[in-house]
Amino acid sequence: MTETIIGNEYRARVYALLAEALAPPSPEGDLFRLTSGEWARELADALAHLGCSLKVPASLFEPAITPADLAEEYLQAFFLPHGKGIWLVESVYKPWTLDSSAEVPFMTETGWLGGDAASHLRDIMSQLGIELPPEIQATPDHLSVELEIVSLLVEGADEEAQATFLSQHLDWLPLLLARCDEAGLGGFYRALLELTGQFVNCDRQLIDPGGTAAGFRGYPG
Amino acid sequence: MKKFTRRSFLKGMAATGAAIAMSPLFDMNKWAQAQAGAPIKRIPTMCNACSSHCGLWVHVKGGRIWKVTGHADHPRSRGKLCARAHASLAWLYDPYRVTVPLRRVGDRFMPVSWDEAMADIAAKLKNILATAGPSAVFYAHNPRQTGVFYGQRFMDSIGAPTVCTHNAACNTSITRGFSETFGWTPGTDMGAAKYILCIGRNFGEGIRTSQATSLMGAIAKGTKVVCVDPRLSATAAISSEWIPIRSGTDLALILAMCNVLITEERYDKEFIKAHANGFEEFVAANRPYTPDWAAPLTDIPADTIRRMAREMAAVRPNCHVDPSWKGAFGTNYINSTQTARAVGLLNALLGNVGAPGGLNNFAAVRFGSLDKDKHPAPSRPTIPRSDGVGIKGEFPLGTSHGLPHVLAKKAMEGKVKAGIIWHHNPVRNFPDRKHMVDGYRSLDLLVVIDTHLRETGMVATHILPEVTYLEREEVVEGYGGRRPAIAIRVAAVPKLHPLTRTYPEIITELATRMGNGKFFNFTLDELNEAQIAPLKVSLATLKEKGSLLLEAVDVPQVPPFTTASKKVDFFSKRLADNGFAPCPVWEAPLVEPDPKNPASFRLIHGKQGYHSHTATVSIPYLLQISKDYDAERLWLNAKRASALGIKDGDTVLVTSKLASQKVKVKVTNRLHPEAAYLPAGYGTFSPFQPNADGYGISPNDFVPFMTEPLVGHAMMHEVVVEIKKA
Amino acid sequence: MSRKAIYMDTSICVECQACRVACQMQNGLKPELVYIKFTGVEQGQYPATTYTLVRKSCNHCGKPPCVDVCPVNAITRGNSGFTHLDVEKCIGCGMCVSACPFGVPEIKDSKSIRCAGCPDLVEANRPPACVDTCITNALKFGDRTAMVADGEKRAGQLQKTHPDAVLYGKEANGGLGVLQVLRAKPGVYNLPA
Repeated sequence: MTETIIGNEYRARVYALLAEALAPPSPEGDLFRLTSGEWARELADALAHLGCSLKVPASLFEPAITPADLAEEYLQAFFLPHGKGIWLVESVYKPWTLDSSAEVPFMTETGWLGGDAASHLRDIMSQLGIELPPEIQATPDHLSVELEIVSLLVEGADEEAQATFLSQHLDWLPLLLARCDEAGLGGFYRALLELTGQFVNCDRQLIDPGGTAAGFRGYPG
Repeated sequence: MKKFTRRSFLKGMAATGAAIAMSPLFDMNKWAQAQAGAPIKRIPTMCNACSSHCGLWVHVKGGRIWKVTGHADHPRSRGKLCARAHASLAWLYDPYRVTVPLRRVGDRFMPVSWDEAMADIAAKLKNILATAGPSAVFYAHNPRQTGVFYGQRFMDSIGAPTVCTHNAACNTSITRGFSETFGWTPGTDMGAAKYILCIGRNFGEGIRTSQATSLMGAIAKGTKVVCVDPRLSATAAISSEWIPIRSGTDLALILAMCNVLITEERYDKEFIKAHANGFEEFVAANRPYTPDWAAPLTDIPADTIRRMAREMAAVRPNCHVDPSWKGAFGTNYINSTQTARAVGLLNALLGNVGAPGGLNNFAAVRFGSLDKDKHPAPSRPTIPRSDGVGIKGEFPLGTSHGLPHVLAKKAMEGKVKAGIIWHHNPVRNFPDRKHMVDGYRSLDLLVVIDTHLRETGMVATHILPEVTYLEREEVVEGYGGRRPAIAIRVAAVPKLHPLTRTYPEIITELATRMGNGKFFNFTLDELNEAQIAPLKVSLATLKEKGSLLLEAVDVPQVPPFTTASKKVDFFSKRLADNGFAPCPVWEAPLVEPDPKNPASFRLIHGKQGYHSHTATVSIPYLLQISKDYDAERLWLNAKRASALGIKDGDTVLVTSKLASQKVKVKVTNRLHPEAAYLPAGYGTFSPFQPNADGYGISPNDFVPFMTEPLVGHAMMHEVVVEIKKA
Repeated sequence: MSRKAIYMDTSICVECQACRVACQMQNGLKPELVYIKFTGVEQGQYPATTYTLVRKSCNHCGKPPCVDVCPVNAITRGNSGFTHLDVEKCIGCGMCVSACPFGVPEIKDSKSIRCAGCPDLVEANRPPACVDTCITNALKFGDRTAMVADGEKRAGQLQKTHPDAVLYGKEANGGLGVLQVLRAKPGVYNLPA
């Protein structure tokens, strides 16, 4: 029992740390925690306490880059319209909607914002009065938001809820990593996304070994 | 153990795992079950896939765009929608949109806060105004009501006169040509016409939905429609007759048709007697232009020219020559302005102005305006424009459309230093890529307000993110007619990206920072209420209906002419005073393909019905149409191609003094042998429209920077290219 | 319900592709999956050139062979006489491809790509998506007898200038549910006589 609690505390911590590192740098924000190695040490510590075999790669400890340059790397890779076009957003990797009553031309297409996942998470947040910072309001299905939600679920909800969320929302990381390949992303964020993908995969197997959690089945009718 | 501090960016009391998991919406399958039955709301608004702004209904479910249908009461859509209207909805959800203000840093753009961006722009603009004066600043847009109101008022407030539009690469010749003839650019009554002559006008591919509906309706009921065009266009293909013509010689054809009507006394003498000014001078000037003279120039047999003139005369006044748009004489040749004038005069000879099936001109909707005491308006600047329009020695007869390509030159000369551009892409859509890029890049301040990073944005100093047409409200638009109409754009959905803003918001803030907030002390609603007040329609009703037909108005039998003489100016004193031919006389195109060189062609271009210039090529559903039909191909006449050993589907190298580019060929009998035809919607080079990257080539890359002497337009077909098998 | 039909006057169609995109929306098709295509035919030497076209999509035959051969009953004939494809049921076996006398269906993404016949609209006597959006009114929808009459009238008018003009689909395969007025002989477009 005690072990589970400790385990959960560190699981929550890993998710929160990944979320922190993948959130868009706020205008006034500073990525010093990432470039100084402080963040990586906390992550390594949490993984070690979990007894997880995953190792934080050396490149995440010492990215050899200034906070400002790392922020720019993030913006170029994941945020700016003239960047690499790797979007950290669930909707982009899934058909825009599975609701067949839609008659928009892109409804079954991937590659667009504001899909079913975004609608779902926006509805939950607006019902609970949860607010997002402006850079991310358009994308409640942003990877950092989803990781943060898992972290909160680990803290305050049961494993069934965690497994449900992971299978309904956080199942797109392989597609994201394929997109990273295509766009030739390397460096700090490549290593970070690979680690994130591996951790989510391991963790999901841990809490839902049979893969029985209900994924999103679409709309009735 | 060190206490872990969560650096959460989810704000709110209920941002806990327990609350989230307890939410009845938490399981996405249950959420979807509830969502499936959510109501679908219909919101009336206007399209923005092209500048026709058709009325449409946007269907919205759960805050998302669900479908569009046409608005039956909008005069430009009448309930029907083209391919672009459906497919362009995708713009809203495009991850490649500009979502935050960007500032150029070297060769890159970096995000900045609105406050920083606006402070920076205002400081630079103030500095330029103080050091170089208001003539160093220009504004350019695609002119629709919102820009015309806010953009013009902003420019007035800083004392800068240079407001430009896209028209110098579209239809400036037509505007000037008809204004020197009638005082206005006419519309047509296709429904009651017995004979419609289209010269380059291609209703099926340069689509305004209601016009396509009208023309095809006329064809279906048996109206004779004749298309004069170097190319058997989609419209020519369904017309009664295709008359292929040598590009650039439409003026000769019109002059010869006038000649037939005059010499055979088939023109409308009563109309001429009542409404013509300077007819005798015109007759004298027209004497040499017989069909036999025109035949070798135009490549149209003299008998065909005579027949066309006689056929039209036989059904006058219920017939017309379409005033056209860009087609043959919008901004394509050195003789385009005089061609437009000649088309006006040929119509006048047919006595069709105001007649059923002829030309018409309806008064604009009589909008009201803001209370001048409560909302003082800045006065219109009186200093000269900086693009040469209205200036002796430059373009004294240029139009208020302005000359964005001339501004590129003035920028390189250091005479123009700052520009603000809204939803308009002169760098790609005017000829001569290097000229446009270098010119606009050399500005000290170039603020581009847009939803996407297009070619003009690429050379900007600042890019301000705009909401899309589906997320914003605008200034009410009006449409003159027997039954005038008004329409408004409203937000169909809340804005997706919180840091995007509407154009009126951006302009109002910038004006405030410039110290001119007093000229913008009203809301958009207040402005719209003042505008529609005289029409006895409430703003709430208009927003609920979207498009509204007003009561029918009395239309005079012959619309009043607003030229200096108040008549149809067969002789234009103003043209004479400025050193131009007062009556249209033949002027040869500026350049001609070399008849001795089998590889020499005139490069002409046109639109395709499923693209709006270069704005839509990155929309997947529209680009796929292009790909399925190999629509990017260059058209070559079959005989000419065969002489060059070029087969259908071959790749050729197209070379002008400016560029040498490869493209696939469509070998066809649908084209005059002297012309090579290229669709104009491809060859975008902004790498930030990834879907379109590298598709097709643009005619603008081959055409040098030029200005037509009369109005200064871009003369986009005045270019000769060499074509060889690649 | 009386038999319904789409009547297309190809002599006023400019291939603006509004029908194609409206159809893709209605049916949730990817950009590459297209139910409505055009076959354009250029004839004659310059300058005596003509360009005419036909719509290439399911013709909703009166006796649809695809319905008979479909092993999973994914294609059914509705009360309107339109044949409807249930994409869910379709296994992409290609039997309909070999059976179709017009060469319309294709197999892509393991599904038959052919007009689904807008069942929700057509069976409720409402125009299908393509007809609803058509900006030139080249497409009409209604009782088949009325559509035949409209088509024959238009073909008669066109014959004065286009001697080969004909209403195609009146008789073929039990009478088609997509009737097209053509300006050239059906064979020009590889349509069976």
